[in-house]
Amino acid sequence: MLNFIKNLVELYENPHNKTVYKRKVEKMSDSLEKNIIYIKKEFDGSADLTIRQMKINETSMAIITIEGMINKQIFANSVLTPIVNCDFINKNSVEKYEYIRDHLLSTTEQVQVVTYDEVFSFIMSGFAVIAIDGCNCMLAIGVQGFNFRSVSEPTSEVMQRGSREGFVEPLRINMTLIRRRIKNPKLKFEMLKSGSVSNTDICLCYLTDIVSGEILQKIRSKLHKIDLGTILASGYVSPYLEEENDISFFSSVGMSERPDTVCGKIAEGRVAILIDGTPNVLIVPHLFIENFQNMDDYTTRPYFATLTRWLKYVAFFVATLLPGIYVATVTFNPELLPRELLVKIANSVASTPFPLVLETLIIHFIYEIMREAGLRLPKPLGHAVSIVGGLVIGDAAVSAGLIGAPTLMIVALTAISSYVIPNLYEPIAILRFIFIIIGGIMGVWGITLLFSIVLINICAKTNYGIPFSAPMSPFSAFGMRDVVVRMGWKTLAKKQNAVQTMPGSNINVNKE
Amino acid sequence: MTKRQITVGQLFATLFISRMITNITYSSTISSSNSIWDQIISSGVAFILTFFMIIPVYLICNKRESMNIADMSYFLIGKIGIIFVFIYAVYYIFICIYSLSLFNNFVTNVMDPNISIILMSIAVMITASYAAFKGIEALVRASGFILFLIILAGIFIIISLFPQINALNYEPLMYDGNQDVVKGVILMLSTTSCIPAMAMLIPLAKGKVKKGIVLWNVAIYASIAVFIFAIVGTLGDYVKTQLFPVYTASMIAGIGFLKNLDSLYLGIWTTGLFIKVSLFLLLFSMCIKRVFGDLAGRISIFIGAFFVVVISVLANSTQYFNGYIYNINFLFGFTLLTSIIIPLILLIVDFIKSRRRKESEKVKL
Repeated sequence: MLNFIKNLVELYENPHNKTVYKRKVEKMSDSLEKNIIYIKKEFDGSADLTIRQMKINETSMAIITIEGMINKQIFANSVLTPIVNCDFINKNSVEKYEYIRDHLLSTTEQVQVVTYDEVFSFIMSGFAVIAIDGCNCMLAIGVQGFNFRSVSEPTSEVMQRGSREGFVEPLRINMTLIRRRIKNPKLKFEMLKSGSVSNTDICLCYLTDIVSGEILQKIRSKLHKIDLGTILASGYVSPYLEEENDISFFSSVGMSERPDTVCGKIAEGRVAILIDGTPNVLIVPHLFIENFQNMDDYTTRPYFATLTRWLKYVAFFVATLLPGIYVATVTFNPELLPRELLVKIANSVASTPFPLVLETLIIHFIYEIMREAGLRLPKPLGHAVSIVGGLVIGDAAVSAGLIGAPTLMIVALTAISSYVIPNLYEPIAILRFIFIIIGGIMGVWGITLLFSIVLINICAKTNYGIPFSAPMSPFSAFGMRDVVVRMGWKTLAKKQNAVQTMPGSNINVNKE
Repeated sequence: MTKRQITVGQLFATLFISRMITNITYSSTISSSNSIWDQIISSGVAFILTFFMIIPVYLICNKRESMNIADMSYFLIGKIGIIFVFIYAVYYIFICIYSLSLFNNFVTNVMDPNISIILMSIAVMITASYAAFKGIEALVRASGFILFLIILAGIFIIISLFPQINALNYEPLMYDGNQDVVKGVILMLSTTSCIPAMAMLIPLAKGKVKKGIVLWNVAIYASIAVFIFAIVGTLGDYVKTQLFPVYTASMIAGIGFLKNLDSLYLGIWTTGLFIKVSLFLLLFSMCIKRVFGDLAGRISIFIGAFFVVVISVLANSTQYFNGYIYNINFLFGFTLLTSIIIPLILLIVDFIKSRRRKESEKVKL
């Protein structure tokens, strides 16, 4: 009873200290038998733990692996065969261990481990661990060979020009995808572990001569505060990288599946955060304007890139505001519309049974349902949903006089516009509903006031000491070369534009 | 010690918006004059006088760089300084009430909206409270975007009005004497609420304040002159009967298929009002914070907003309040008190104190 109360008090005082799995920092014994018993006990008879025990030249040895995590061919050729065929009869256990380590194995990755914690970490990362009786350390050998999805073009960020490679799930492969693009010794990968249950590898990636030490320190401190048990996707980590007490529609953590995009950001002094098991790489600090920039902007001609940039700005306003303005204008201020257009809309509104605000909300809601269904279903079925939803329901509803054709057009235009800026789909979808409701209640004034709130919400955000709205406000004429227009590379290359030099930044420009 | 959080450019952009929305409500009814055209001279006179009005505030803010007028009041006259801080707090909240009730007046008399004025006032004040709560940095950054939109809309309206200007509408200046010029000057100076705002904000701004003041003043009075020129030329005698002549002018403005530009006017006013009310609510909370502390300062935003809604709605429904709020002489006196008299008193006290200090140092030597 007393223990129960003590535990309760401890849990109350440290609510985050609910560690399900405590890491072992215990050093291993020099008895092979004891070590194997310990490891087997920890794995509790797990089916994938493989311990191959053998006796070579009077010495007991064991090779510990996890089923399916190693490349069996490399393991047999580079590890097992040399050990089985070697002759070190006159050596003691430690000398045999050193001989294997220094002369026998032909693999490049070899790490000496001394704690059980390290052993667990390495075998679960696809290493084979060699244990020798009489030695209080083991040798981890890199023979990873688990199956993973091959490098392919990311479906969520399709580009016309540029690389077709996208990140994959294994962290190490993603690291090579970045390293291959930035062949610079200043590019640093810094490994961390997070998640008390999943022990997920997280890797910070940055250029040491460009990144701000202050930003880096803040990121490290935020990552160390993660109190999750499991980390299965980058979305688990991104809320921990946002500013504290920041209630906002917009995320200040960027995300990309493209190595070229991530490399571009790293070159501007940002930090990429790679998480094992997910192809989405997080990028911080992330500014609002970056949602409108993509890799194609930098591979096409400047005048065309400028045009597409402006299309995105317009699409953002259309996707967010158009349905709300439509409802507000038609309901409260029809005099603002041209006469011919007003007559057509009025006829349509008069012939449908629902009030305009409700009609617009219903169509938007149905559209979101269809989008969600199309997204989750297998592709052939997804097309069927589009046809049934878009053509059959849409056309039938207009013909039956349930919804107005102008409203349907507005929704369709809004939906298409929202796909122009995929990074902002989530906030746009939510804001659109709010704008429709406010437009239906308060008219144009309501829309203007809500727009002001959204603007303040964007402007109030400070992302690692850099204003989220920079370089538009605080304004930088220099920054406009990649905002209002996309200047040519000859102009863009003239001055390096590190993120910490943005106007309004209170970040120390000191390098890492 | 106040940290310099904003730039001079951001500060004067915000103050420009605050003043612009007063400019677009300009009318002969508010200035109690017969000829708006004569007031183009008033804008020139007021332009020069505004420079003189700014001097005391500029000097007091330069005395001790990190201190605003509230800090200086405490620093120079001790706890009696609370009276000055209180006067500034009342002035800032009064400007909020004036701006919101003018907006309500416009909506009720001109727009005939289908929604309740109380609901609209509450919505404006909730939005403004949110902005004020987010702080000066968020507000001035948002002002940057809004200024861009306002300038674009303003230029568009002015350009579309120019083809409709009739030269015959311009009567000889000061045809009926100089009374209208004087009334115009008083109206323009009384609505210069930005000077008391500067008294709190200049210490927060980094950059060339003098240059900012000059550009801001030139922009303000140039825009007033352009507005007067455009509305008189477009509306002629009709301008005398209009409660909000800039709105009427924007209604008849149009280029090609773009007609009914009154929606642009509405957009300018609503966003500008939002910035102005947020700014003055924030200034009010800064005064309260100086006296009662940080938490009280934050809470005061919402209490202040509540009072603004109640009084501005009352002002629209009762003649008693209406008389005070739109009384130009009262507003002029209040603005003079906060722009010139209080800063001058503080300057004199500072002068006397520093002189005494020097004398005592001499005696010691």
